[in-house]
Amino acid sequence: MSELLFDPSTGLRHDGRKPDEMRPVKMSVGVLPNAQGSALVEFGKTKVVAAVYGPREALPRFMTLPDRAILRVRYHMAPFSTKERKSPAPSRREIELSKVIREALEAAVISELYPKTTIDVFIEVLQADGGTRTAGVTAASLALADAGIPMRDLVAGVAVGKVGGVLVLDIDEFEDSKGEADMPVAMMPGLDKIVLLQLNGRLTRDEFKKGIEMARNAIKTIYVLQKQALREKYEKEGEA
Amino acid sequence: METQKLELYVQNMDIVVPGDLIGEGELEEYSPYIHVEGRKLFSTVLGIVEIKEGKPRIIPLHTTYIPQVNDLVIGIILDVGHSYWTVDINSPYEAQLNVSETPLKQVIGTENLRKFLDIGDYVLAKIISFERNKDPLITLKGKDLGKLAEGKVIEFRSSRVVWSILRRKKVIDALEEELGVSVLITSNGRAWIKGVSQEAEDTAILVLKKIDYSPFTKLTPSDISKLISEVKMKGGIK
Repeated sequence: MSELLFDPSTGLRHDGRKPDEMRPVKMSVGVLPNAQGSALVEFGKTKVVAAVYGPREALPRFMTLPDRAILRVRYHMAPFSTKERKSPAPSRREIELSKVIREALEAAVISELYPKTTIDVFIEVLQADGGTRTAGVTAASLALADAGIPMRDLVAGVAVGKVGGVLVLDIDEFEDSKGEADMPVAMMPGLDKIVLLQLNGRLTRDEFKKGIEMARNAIKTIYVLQKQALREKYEKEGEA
Repeated sequence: METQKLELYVQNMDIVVPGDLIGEGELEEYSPYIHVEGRKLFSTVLGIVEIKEGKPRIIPLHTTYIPQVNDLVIGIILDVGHSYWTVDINSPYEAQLNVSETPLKQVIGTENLRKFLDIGDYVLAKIISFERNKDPLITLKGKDLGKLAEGKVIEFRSSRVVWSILRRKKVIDALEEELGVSVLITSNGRAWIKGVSQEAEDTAILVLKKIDYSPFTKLTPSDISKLISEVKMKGGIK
């Protein structure tokens, strides 16, 4: 099985990528005119759209905080996003991912500016092929920036995995299910801070360090693309 | 001396996005759009840099209106209570307008306040207080404040437009003179337009909307007449 995933003779993965190669990344901002901010992010076949509403009045009132805005994040996979139909009801996994993504974004959003309000972030996975949470957090931070919500930095994420004993970057569904480890990482690259870190499987200390380094380099590339996507939107508006 | 300490890496009118390093040094004035990390200054929003006397300022592309005391706002009545109205001021916080803050004399308890201001009515008001744990309070007492019975109200999309039009009064003066309308732009991103005729009002709205949708072109008073004739041509207004 491991040979299927990673071919040591050529040093290539099952889809022809090198171990430290990402899938093609595409980003666009302002894709949903009804939302205050929105973004569409694609990592290969993984496609995620994020929409931001707010800051707006929080309902129910008891949820509000007197000193800052609350962030509500819903990560959801569309029923058609997987090969077999996924029940649209929120699963345990989705609830957990909503929480980790919220915590990652809370580190970036300057919520003290809008006390007693709520900022709603909706992340909808349109097509899942591994790395949906990192694509989700990347899209959500772009959507927040598009909505004009002040942030300390953009958040970008990527997953590192281990297949056939080799560390690989940006794993897809196949590598995730058959591989030995999966480690999603999200960072605020400008400030060099990690805001999301999970690990499924086992890595040695050295592998972990190398994995973080791989993720950091990839995140910097994603960060450049994020900034480019935001600037493009700005320029587009200028021409309109 | 203070300004010498600040080293900027951006130029005037540069576009910045969250996380962009704009400079290093000490910032004299606090700004929600600049994040300070040690001595490094980062932008927190998508916007344009404006540098004045060596001090950076960021004008965000889109922002949410946060009430400030003494701001002039255009509000829409959302709800009518026993002795107050709830007013939408284009902000996450709903404002409250008490009867005592209107020119009305003592209102009898049984009287329905809808007689004076009903849901959907526009008012020109002033913020009198806004605290963290209380919703903003507004007043109708003051010169020119009150119900907007005539004219039209529009809402702007971009915060930068409000900022730039508010500052360039000459542009608005040119528009007012050319069309014979009076335009009032308030801090919460709304404008009230009142003209001699329906056509004049509509033309002014189209011109303002056009400016709103192309917020990054520099406007001079002479551009206004060009814009007006353009809008008139397209809309078939004589």
